[in-house]
Amino acid sequence: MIRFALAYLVVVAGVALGAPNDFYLSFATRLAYYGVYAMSLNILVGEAGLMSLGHSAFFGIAAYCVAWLTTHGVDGWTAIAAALALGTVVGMATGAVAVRVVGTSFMMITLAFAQIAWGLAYRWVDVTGGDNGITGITRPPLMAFDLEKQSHYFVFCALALLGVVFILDRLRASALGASIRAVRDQPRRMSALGYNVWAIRLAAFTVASVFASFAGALDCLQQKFVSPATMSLLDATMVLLMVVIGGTSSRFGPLVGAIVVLTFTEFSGQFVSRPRAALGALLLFVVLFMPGGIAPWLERGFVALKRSLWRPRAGAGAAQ
Amino acid sequence: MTAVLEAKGLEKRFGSSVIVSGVSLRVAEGERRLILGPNGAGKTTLLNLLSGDLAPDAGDIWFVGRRIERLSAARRARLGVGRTFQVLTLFERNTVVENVLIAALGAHARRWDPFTPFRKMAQAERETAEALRKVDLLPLADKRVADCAYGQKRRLEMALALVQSPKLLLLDEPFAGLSSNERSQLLDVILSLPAEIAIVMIEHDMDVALKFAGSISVMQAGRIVVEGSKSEVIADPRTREVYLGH
Repeated sequence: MIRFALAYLVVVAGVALGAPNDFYLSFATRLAYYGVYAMSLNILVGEAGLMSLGHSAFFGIAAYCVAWLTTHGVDGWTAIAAALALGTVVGMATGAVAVRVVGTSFMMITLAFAQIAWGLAYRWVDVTGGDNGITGITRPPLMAFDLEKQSHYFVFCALALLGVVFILDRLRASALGASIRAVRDQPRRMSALGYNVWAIRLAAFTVASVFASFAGALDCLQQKFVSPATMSLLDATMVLLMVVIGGTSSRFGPLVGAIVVLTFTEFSGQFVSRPRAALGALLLFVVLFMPGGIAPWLERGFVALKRSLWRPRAGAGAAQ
Repeated sequence: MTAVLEAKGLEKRFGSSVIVSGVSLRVAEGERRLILGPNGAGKTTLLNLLSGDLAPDAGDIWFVGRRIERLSAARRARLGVGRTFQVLTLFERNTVVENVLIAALGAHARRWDPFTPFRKMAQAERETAEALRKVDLLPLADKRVADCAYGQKRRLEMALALVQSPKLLLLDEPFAGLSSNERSQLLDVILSLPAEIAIVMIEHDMDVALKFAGSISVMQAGRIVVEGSKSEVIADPRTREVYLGH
């Protein structure tokens, strides 16, 4: 997985280095933290089997937290730490209710929660700035690095992605990671084995919300602006699309999905007049012809390619 | 002998249907209790009440001197109530050894460990190997469960329950769907279990069930109608009445 993450970063860095201007560098930065965002959602969708429609709430809450604090004189790093703490607390509180149910009910509860968060951002004008959002956010310095420079901020986000990949990889291989998947597959059996199914789902929900919060904090510092659109239903479905298109069963599916969906939404407008309709068509194509998502399909292709390259030539042994 | 399990006046209704009514059961340490009865007698519901999968509407359950009827299935499992299911509930995508490791960790505090690779937890690894040896699945440890034969999966179900060293083992039709060869293999496993484990088993296959049983409870329409030692219950005319209707 780390190797794949490095390959992912090479792609992202390639985009950044080949950048004729800051636009591509910004795009590569977004690829990095949207990778974190998509991976965080896949803890719920792929690992825990819980299809959430409210993940954008954590992303947005953290973004607002960083925006509000940094515009009120709080140091940027303290603001990020506060956003993570808030994401943990809100994740635990909402998760405690949401994971009591599964399936459609879980989707509806998470959707309701995201809509409440969106409504608060929209209506609580004194704090959130309402529809105008919050502007004037600055990035904190990091030792010798000036994160206000887009190239430096890109490197920071790329390293953050690598760190998250490492942590999630460890989590996946751990007892807790195995329990999360086992609860997805056989909740009744897990109860009979002494596992508290609700608590394990809550742990998954909380971890997912913490990493979504981290991505939200990075987004806020990238955009230097936050508005209710950050946690709209559209954004929630966009990250879900990344996970589904990339492949929920694959460890690197969310990263592939983030690349495909972001690239598609960013550049398809130059070629088609209805980019969102085209994205819908892409989703249909993936669901119909690559049911597990793009990543497993790539994996199979890679394995087949490796086999064909390494296969000894017929008759080579006889010739010797 | 000390009672491992004692249930008094258990009752369970689903809507207006009474599935279990006034059932009392006492299982001593090391006892081998068979529960018999026709389909719909309430056997599996009774087992679910004992394991915590269902909460009783009335009655109480004591397990090694502790009242447990309001405890969750998970809490009861951690206290020492193990069970198998009539329908296989295995982790099909995992290997045989991973299945048993997950089961072993259910009783460990380290089940919450978010960083140590779960396949490298030494204590659980030893317990896992021991459980697999008991059910004769050690050679298949690294085989994916989805690729195992049905009989092997049934034995794996048993290993999942055994690895937690239960004081009470509830077996829900463990021989269902097995060939005669597989049945005798599994029966050997059950008969070789440590004598101190109390076992309550539901089974329709009389040949294997009677080889296992020390005592028998016969259920009909949610009630226990005959109870006693194996010979007493077999000799009781009510047993025949329950099964043959005359």
